[in-house]
Amino acid sequence: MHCSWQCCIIISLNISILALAKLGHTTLRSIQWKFCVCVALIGLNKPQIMGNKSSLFLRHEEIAQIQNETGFTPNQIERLYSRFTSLDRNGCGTLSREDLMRIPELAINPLCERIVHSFFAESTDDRVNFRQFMNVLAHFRPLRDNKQSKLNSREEKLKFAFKMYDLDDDGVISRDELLSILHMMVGANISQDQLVSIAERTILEADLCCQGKISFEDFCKALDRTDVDQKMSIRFLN
Amino acid sequence: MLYGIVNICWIPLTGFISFLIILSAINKSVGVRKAYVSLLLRIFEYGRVSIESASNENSRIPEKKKDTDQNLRLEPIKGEDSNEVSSGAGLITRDAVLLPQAQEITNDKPILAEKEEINFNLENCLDYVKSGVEAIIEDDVTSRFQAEELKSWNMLTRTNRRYEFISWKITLIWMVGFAIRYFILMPLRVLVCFIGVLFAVVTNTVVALIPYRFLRHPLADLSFKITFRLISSSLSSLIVFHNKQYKPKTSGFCVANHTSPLDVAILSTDCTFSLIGQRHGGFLGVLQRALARASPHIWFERGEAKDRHTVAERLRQHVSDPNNPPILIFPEGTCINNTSVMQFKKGSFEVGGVIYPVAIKYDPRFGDAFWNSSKYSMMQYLYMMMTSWAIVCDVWYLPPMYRQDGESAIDFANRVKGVIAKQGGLVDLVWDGQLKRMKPKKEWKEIQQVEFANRLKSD
Repeated sequence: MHCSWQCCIIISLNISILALAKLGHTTLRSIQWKFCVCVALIGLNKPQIMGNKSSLFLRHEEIAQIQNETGFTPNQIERLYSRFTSLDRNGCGTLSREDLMRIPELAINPLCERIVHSFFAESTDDRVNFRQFMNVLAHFRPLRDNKQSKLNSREEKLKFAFKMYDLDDDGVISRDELLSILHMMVGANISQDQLVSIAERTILEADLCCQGKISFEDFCKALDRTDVDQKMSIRFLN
Repeated sequence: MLYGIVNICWIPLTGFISFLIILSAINKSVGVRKAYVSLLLRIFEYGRVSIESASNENSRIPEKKKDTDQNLRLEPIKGEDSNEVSSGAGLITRDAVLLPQAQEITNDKPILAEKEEINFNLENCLDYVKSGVEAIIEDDVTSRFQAEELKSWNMLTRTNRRYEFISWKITLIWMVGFAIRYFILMPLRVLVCFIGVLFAVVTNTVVALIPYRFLRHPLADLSFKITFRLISSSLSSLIVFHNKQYKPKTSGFCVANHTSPLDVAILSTDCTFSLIGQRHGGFLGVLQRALARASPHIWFERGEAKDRHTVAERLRQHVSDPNNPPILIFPEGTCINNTSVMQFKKGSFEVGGVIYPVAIKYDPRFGDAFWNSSKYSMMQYLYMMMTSWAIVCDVWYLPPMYRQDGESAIDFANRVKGVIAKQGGLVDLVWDGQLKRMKPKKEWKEIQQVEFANRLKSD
């Protein structure tokens, strides 16, 4: 509808100019033709300029659906969508890992690869669309929020945190997985031997079933006294 | 036929041109631009009210329940009422923000604590996860390279939220505005801009031929200012200069925050500068070559600018001659959307000499002056500027600053940056503006890793 309006204006302008040319002097016509071309060019330029802006709008059904799934308010959804489109440099409606890594504050985060990876858990082609994006973000809605959704419960938050450590997605954190996370976190600042002993001690403390690995239940137990809601909730305004 | 047109037109045209040049020479304005801008403000205000009432009606009919959300729905992105309008302002409150430098006051890399006990809990990583996701929702850097979001619509389609079809009155205003901008203002502006460039070419060639120095300098000065006054008036720019007593006078450096290439034109309307930069081709190239004929500007070849020593040497040479006008430098090295100031490159602060800080703040309501160079070419940018309403901006001259004894160039640069940010109402960021094109450095992540290691040891 948007473009058609502009087309109408441009076409009507062109027609009126041509009509004037018919009435006027014949030698003037070439000048006026050029003018018409200019007008048309301006018209063609416009959608390009606004290209990414016009995709700023979500359909009402989409908003309602996302609201149902995630519990975000329509306003929050629209603003997050605007963020999503601005991260989407190629304008293809989905984000790649590269798109996310371009955020400098995320790129300097020691855990950035894991965080970015968490967005792609459900994607098949290594791109994340807006709904998947919102589903991940929904984990970070505060618990106290009266609009409950199943994504931001304490258990879901813990599950999200657990997946940060669970590199191979097999449902348990092994010694090697913990070691590589530790390595990501501290770089070369703590010696490998020390890291190994940290990893082994952590597993020993957390592992209740004596299998040498941390299962999700163990993980929850270990974080029993942690204020997960405070640590894993982002304070959304309004 | 063509001869006839020329015959009729040349008298008013020459009259107009000489009128423009004389006005620019005495630095006076007829007041047309001022009246135009205040009229625009009134139209915008009217538009804002109509849009609000129209969308109030729209949203009331289909969904009665939404009354509470209404205000939020009107303006999906609504900045805070403060000066610091940033696109995401207020979507979330951020708890932990990672910065590319140590959080402690020490500016160097944080030193690794020597303690041997290490306490690690599985919950230690959660803070980083949270801060990472927060950065995805809202961050301080990427939004600075995108056009600033406006609180109310300014009747330009560029910042459009489909407002132009919200009511027939707005549609009408928008269409009339469109016609005025594209069919009256733009041709006029192109003409005036063309006159400006032509003027530069002609006068600089003439002035360069004058053998007497005492005559050549003031004339070159005048021609420089008139050129830029013409060019800036071609964009209907309304510039308010504050604190004129601090205007750069002697040789030195004038440093300013960078929003667009127009910064140069705007500052040059009031004061003569030596410009420095890379040689360009095309439109800019013509202007550059013309200016370089009569006054000492520094243009580098493409490869030469990379060589820091050559650049520093040329700068030092220039500053050492007290007859030379101050050099205008934008130490951010890239255009930023005028909501913040990013890291200043230390180069110009190392040379020594006086630094005259200048803060420039544009009024984004009349047209966004920010040049998103990764998206638009120079010509596209100029085209957008010429079809915008106007360029309205404030310029603050700030008291000259000197490097203190024992102060490093980086500290000095940060001090100057802080002063500019404070005056212009801009956010003072430590991030490097080059992030617009480049990826963050690895070292910054290493700083975070050292910090985390320290945290493990100190707990």
